[in-house]
Amino acid sequence: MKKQKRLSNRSRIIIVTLVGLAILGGAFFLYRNVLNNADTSPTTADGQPVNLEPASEEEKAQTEATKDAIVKRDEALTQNNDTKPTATVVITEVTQTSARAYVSGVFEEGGTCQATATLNGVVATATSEAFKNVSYTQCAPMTWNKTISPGSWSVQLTYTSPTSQGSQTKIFEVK
Amino acid sequence: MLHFKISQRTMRIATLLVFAVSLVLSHAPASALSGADFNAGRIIDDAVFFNPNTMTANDIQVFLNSKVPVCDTNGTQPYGGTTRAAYGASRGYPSPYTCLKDYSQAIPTTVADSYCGGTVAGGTKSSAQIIYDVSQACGVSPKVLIILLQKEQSLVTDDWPWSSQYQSATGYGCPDTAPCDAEYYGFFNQVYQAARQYQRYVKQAHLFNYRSGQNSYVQYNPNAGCGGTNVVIQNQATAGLYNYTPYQPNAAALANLYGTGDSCSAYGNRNFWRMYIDWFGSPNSNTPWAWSYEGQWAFADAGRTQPFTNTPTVAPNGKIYLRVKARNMGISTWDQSFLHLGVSRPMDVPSTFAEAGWVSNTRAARLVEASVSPGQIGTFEFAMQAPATKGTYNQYFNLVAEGRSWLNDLGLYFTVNVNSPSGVSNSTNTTLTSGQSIGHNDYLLSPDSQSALTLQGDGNLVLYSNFAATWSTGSFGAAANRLIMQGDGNLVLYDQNNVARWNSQTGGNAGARLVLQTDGNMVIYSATNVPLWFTGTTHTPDHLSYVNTGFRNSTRMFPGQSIDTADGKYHLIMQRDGNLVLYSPTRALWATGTDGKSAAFVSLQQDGNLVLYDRASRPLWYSGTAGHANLRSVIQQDGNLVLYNNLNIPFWHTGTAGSL
Repeated sequence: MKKQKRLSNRSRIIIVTLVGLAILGGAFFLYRNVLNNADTSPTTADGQPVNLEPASEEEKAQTEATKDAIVKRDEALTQNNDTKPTATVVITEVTQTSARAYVSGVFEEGGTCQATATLNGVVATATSEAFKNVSYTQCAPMTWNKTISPGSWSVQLTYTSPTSQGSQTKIFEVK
Repeated sequence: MLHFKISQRTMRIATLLVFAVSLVLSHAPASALSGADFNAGRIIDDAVFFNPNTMTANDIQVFLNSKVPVCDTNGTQPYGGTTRAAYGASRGYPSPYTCLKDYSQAIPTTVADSYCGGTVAGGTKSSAQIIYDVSQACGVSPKVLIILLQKEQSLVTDDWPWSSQYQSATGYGCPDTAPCDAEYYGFFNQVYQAARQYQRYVKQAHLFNYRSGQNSYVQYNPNAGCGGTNVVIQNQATAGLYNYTPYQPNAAALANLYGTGDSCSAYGNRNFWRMYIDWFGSPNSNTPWAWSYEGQWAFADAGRTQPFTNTPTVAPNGKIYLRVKARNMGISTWDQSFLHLGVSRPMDVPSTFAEAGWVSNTRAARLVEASVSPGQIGTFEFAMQAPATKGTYNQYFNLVAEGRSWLNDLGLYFTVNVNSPSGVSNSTNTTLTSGQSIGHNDYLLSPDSQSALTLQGDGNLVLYSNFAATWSTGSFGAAANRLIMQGDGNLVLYDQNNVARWNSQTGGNAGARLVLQTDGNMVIYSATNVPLWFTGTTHTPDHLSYVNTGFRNSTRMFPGQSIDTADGKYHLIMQRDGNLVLYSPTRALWATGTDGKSAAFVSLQQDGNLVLYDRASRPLWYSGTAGHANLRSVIQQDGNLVLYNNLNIPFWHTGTAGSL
């Protein structure tokens, strides 16, 4: 008799718990999928849903942060009025036939990009003219004066213009 | 009534269990966006990015209204211990503040070009209308432009935006650590230039750092010391985002999606991705039929070995041979049996250029490949036959899955000049014979006047072909003032102190001469006609006379040269009598009036001024457009000669449109 009672106690607790979970789950499902949504959520011309909620607290905070960034930038630029802009060269790709790079910190036309690749005494060079690209200066792709073989080449890229200059040297695995 | 006793312990356990589960269920979000979902190589898909039909102008206005229900026009809310208006004024940005949903601007009419194939009509327009019109003209989704405005200047959610946020709305012309370039200021300018630049990244992909399908290094931050990684970029839209903002988010930036990472974090592309998802949902396409542009080429021969290096010029009823490559950006496989290149804008209207080899007079070609799966590149090859009427024509094409759907219209087109090949001109100064020399601002012309060699006042010896510099000695600033084809066969450039600044190293060939050729090449021939040296600047194909309908800046036009409309009606001629004259079929329409004044050349300078100089480099006439970089000249089929900037805004013209 005692054993039976314990079993039914346990099974009844399990039943109560399961029923409780079912009720909770049902309420949750109801809340999320029926009570909370409008009948038709807004869409745009392409039939895709669009978020027409006002700016969230996080979005508002980021908006205010943009103002701080504007103030910081205005201050930095007033202080640096007579210093030359710093040209930072970034080489993005080196292949057997070409090299690509850009120069951040300056936005100008007509500068020159000069690349030199060195490995075991072999030297290849390439030049191109630079041009404006949105917020930085783009080197037109540079073609090596001779095809370079696969290997770990030390590549130096120098940018020069009437008002600025910069350089980067980096090892590239040419495949 | 329940006939059992539940012990306190089991009761406690059951309650805890129920409580724990309800806690989990009530806080479980539908799907949380995590930094782990960011794929650096695929931020957004091409079919989504380049679809201009995602929102109407009204959709855009409704969207802008929703983000800022109330605009703090007078800056009355508190900020930094005072009011927003007082704080803003102290920073140089006083009230009233105009929110993006209420903003309007008077804009000019743009001219279509190869990046923005449509036109934006001028007038006073709301920001929503501007965003819509630019998206239509340039083939970029309005959703992308909205996200761009938000990620650059938070303009969409700002309820008290400052003037500088409109001036540099998309960050165009704003280097990280230098002042913004005022030439690009203004909301419309910013939106148009950004959209146009996204298309430039597609149409001139070879010029930029990041390209679809390539593995390239992307930094985390402008500070190179922060490092970066190699990224395989999977599509053109993603390549374009990196070409615009060359940084990827680092782990710290991805770990805190709505906030800051560390000192090495940069947020531009992370914010683009996150904001797009928050507002518009998935940036990935599930479109069955879509393509992205991989290139277009024009050839003079059926074998496609002679590519045109300029706008193709062909005789009336003549043929040119084209190739187009397209990448399958949809989820369906293309098959040769139904995937065609069709005539568009307008669609399904027989083309003037239909040729015998076409599938039909509205379908130029079928795929070369038997099938092209998603992600792969397909090729179309076809010919175009010119009409009998001379002129400049644009023919648009788009991909169509026959019986299923047209694909996204990217505004692909070919420009063709239809004109009769002209005979050899009367240009007599094509050659520098043994012993002859030229000085400052003297020139040689090829027999067809298309190429010119000149020794410029700045000391540089430059070869121009079709008004673009193709070769130079690079002796700018070297005070070189004389080029001599010496008796010993060496071509030497001397400065005012008789120091040789450059030479062709062809000494020991007595009697050699320098010849400027119709094919664009400049050659030193020995006395026995053996080529000793050449610039190698042959333009192809060389059996056609190119029609030059204009020229870009930093170029010169010499007496004997002209620019002409392809239909042969209008000519701007730099005459040997010194006058620069614009002619219609019947009379002179406009002139600088400098005949008899020994004009040496007319130059469209880098500063934007069009200036006529004499041999001593003194200006005889100028257009007065200095201060506008990147101007180019165009002689139009309406008879007007115009100087446009690279936004296609006209800055000067002869006022002769419609004149006969």
